[in-house]
Amino acid sequence: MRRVLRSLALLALSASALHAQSLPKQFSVTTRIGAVTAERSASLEQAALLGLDTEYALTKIFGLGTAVDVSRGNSTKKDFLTRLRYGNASVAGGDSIYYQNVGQPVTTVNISLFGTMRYPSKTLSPFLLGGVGTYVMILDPQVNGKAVRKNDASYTGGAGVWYKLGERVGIQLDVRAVTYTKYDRNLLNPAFGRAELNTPFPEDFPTPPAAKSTALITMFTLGFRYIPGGIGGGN
Amino acid sequence: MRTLRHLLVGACAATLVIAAACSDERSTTLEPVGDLGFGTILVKTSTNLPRGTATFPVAVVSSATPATDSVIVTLAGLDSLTTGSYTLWFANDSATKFARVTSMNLTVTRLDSTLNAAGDPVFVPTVTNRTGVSSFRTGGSNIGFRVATARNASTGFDAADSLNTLLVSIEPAAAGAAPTEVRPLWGRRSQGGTTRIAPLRFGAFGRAIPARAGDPGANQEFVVATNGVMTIIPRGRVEVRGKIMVANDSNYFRPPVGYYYNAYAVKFDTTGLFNDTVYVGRRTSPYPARLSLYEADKTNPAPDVVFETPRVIFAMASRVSTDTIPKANSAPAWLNFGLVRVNLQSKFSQEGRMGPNTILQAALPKSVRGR
Repeated sequence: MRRVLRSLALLALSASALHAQSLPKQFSVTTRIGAVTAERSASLEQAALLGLDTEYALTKIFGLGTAVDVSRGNSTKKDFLTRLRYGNASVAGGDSIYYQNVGQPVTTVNISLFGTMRYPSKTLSPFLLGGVGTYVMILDPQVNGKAVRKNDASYTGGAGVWYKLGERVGIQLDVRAVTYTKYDRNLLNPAFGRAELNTPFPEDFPTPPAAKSTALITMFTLGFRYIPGGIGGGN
Repeated sequence: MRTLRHLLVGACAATLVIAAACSDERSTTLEPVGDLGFGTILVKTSTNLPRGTATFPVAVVSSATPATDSVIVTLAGLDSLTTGSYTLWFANDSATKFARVTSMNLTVTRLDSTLNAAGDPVFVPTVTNRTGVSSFRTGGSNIGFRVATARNASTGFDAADSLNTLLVSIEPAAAGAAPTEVRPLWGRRSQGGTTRIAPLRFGAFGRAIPARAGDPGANQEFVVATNGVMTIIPRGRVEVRGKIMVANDSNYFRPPVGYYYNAYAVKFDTTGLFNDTVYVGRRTSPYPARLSLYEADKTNPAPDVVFETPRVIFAMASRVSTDTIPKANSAPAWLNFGLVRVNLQSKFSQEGRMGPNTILQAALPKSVRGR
């Protein structure tokens, strides 16, 4: 995270001599890469992110667009404890129990419709962003033994800066906070519902933070913005 | 130049962002954590609960020769007491009148067992007689009693009073006119069927003084066992993981007044014979509360697992670490410990000394005891 912020500062300083400008009545496409991190109660590890924005500038200030963000990270293993039990407790010799943390890769796709408000200037063009959409979490079918997916509404809010590298290209840095609604952390636990989850040693394992019905996801991305010529009636 | 600068800055930023996002820890389905656990089940044993019989005289009321109105009581499974004493009472069936038995001929039989050269058990009884006894505090897992007395050995029992109940109480001090609330054993003539021999019931007889909510009525009973046989079957499980031992079990009667549940671990010697016992402690309610159930005989310390009707304890637990039990703090922990027992014990006996009334027992596997 510190490295990301340092790079943002570096970019901001180096861009002081650039001449950015807003582009009314034009489409733009932004491919983004970055990192996504979730609040602790979501039990999702930090992951890489790929995103694609398309935006139509209504005016110099306002725009509308769509965004698709795809990430594939891991669930937080230490939050999900299960037991693997071998042998039979009712016969001589008893049983042996392996305590295991269970994790799995999670693919998340967030699709949103957003609006932007930009402050055009000659150097940097900061913007605010807000949107609504849906998220889809696709869990590992091999780990779960079945296809498991979850989708529900998501809300996005964010801010960033954009500046021009050339007539049709630019770089965009932004931070977005995405709220997944009706979030179900138990879904990430492939052993959920098994009797073996009732460990007799609850004091000996860390208790994950209380689950919440929403998950706040924060995205840090660096985007490469391209403005196709003439599309949308602009210059 | 400007373009080159832009590209350089962009490339650096992209590298940094990707590096921050990526992790060298890839997902694995399972990751072992901590020590291996070894478990086995707790099973009901032959219990050795307090039990016996009461043989009533032929005549319900006093006969022409009260001295021949014999009452014979056999007792077994009694815990030895460190305070208080076992006291016998005659009572009528409605339990409105009690008379303490003050002159008893007590025959104590201690039964020891050894193995002969052929490996067969040999039982060696040792009999001790006491006369004119009014109370006693002896007990033990291998000790049986025969009490011979008569109707006229009590005071305050009129000739017209019906002798239909024999009661054993534990009196913490000098007995008064009526037994205290600790009334764990009794037999009633009506419970003997067609004979005059009634099996003794273990539990709580009659209403405490003062009466408490949930108590049986004055002439009612809360029966835990009849002649040592419980009508409820507790069950449970013991698991050892490193230094920690946990027992989770369920389906118990609430202890009779004056009793509580506790647990012991039994250490074996190298030949597999009993070597030592370790007190695991008073039973508690399960995680997360882990409230002591010591007072569950009179009050309700954990309403989530202790019920009034029926008078049962839905779940109990023990959790101990060898850090607090030096005898078990070996390497590996719990080495040579072969048994875990859940006991019912009198509050008037010595806490920490294992009594005879084992309810559940688990034989720890070799993976725990080490041989």
